[in-house]
Amino acid sequence: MNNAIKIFDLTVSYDLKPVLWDIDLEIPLGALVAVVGPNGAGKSTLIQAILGLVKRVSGEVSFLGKPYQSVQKRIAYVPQRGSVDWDFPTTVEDVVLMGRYGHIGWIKRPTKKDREKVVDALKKVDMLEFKHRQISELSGGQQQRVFLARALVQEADIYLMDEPFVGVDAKTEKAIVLLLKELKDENKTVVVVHHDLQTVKAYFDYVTLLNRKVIAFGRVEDVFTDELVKKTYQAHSLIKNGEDHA
Amino acid sequence: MPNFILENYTLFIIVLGTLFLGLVNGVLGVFTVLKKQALVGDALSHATLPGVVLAFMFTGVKDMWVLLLGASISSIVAMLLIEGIKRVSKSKDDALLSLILASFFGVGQVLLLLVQSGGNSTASGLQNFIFGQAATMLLSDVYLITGVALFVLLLVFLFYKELKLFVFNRDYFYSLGFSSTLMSGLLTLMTVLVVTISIRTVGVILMSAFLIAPSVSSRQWSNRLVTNLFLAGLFGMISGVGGSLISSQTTNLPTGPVIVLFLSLIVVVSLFFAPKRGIIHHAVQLRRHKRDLAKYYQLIHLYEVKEPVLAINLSDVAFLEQELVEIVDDKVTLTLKGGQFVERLLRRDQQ
Repeated sequence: MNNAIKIFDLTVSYDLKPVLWDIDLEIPLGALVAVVGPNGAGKSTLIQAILGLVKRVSGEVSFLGKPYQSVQKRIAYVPQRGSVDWDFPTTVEDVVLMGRYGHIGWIKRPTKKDREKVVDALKKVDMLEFKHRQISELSGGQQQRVFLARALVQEADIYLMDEPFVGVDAKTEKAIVLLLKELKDENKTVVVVHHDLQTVKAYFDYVTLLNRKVIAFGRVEDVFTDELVKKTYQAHSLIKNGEDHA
Repeated sequence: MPNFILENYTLFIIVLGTLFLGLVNGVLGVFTVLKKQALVGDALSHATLPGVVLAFMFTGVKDMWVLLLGASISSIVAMLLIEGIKRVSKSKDDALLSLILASFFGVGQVLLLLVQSGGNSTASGLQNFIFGQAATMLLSDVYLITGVALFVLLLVFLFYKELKLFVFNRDYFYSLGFSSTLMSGLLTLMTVLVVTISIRTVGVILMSAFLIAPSVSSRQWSNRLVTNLFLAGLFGMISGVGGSLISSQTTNLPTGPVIVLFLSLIVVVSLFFAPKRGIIHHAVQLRRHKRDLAKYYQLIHLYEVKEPVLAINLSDVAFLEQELVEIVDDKVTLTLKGGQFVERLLRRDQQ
């Protein structure tokens, strides 16, 4: 079993209109994948459906050849930065520590070891000096790095990231790219919802062109062609509803 | 003062009861407010009224346990109704909550009038559930209040970590393998329990202020969740005890409104005078920023645009003396010290 994620026949629909239609994907182990497509193409929904956060009409998803529940601890999710209230009364350290909760389990408290892992992760994203900072005082890029650190302490094998590059500064972008490469070198599988077509070639080695359906999936050099990208973005104008469910 | 309290057995009971009520309301309210569910508490408390009256109508006794059991069943029914309607209709949450709140309360009022017009003299006390009355609190009521309050506080203590993450980032909580349904149910259960033990003292109408106001105040003073829980608990206790003591000194003064007076006072003080988040602090900051901007705009320009300014255009020669800028080839550039100075200035602006 060489697949990190295998999606078969996945359909998601909020009303009658399908948001995702008949998705089949086999993402190989150690792949660094960009999910690219226009607004409303269902990029975020794809990640949420993979994780079971939205109901599927049909379809099956397996990770490392097993169902989600049995490998949950090996999957880390990085939600969109804008999905939480950053005025929540807590610190950087505390948010990163949340990444350990799955390993800790119900009711039990974090140990010293958990806190050491937090420090390591904060070092990796260059945020250690902000450890005790209130999260409302962070810039957008710093918030994103905190979310990444939180995913890192999960010590997962598969990472699903929703728009980590949106609204971040150059320094953060560089830090994220470095991190992605590092994860790849450790043979982790990373799936990233991405919106910047310019950087796909430089940052990723696989790409999914998505517009409600999978237009193409494969190595960047094979499928990230002008023709297929155009097809992905044009298909959108054929489907009238441009609403973004992200 | 303590002697006076201890001498008066009735007052002692009231103080003990409202102390725990204030504490548990304040603590739970922190999560309710952070979850942006302030209106849920309001709907649940209004929805208890028909349950109270129906319980009395069916049993004919005014036993507190019976009435409060009716109250909690009624608010659970309201909650299920809200969730049910949400599933089948596209109505907006706040509209739905207001609707359920008003209709349950309306039904409760009508039932109450029916019972009272029936000439049933024992029904008179039911009126107290509207605005609350602490003065008639019995020792058995205090047992019930303390027991339930301690149980809810224990739940908060045990599930502190889960509550925090669930409220902060529900999807992520779920992705870690925790059950959102379970957590959501736990939060609702705690709210129903706290509302139920509070309505007799605070009244169904003003109950939600007891839940919400302490945490709105505490948030002004602290950026840490634990501190917020302690402060909100403290504010709740002060208001609860203060309100019930004052209201029980006079006949016919309901407790709820007096408690809300205390709560409002704490909210107002917190909104204005809290450091960092307070209105006054903000106003002072804003003035300082405006003044600094007028004085240092050229330094900020140099820092942001990184394009030197001609020496003759230097806005303030004092910058040279303070070694914030230097002049090289007739052009003004920031010194290292000047750069750090502007950075400090801008960082302050962010906070």
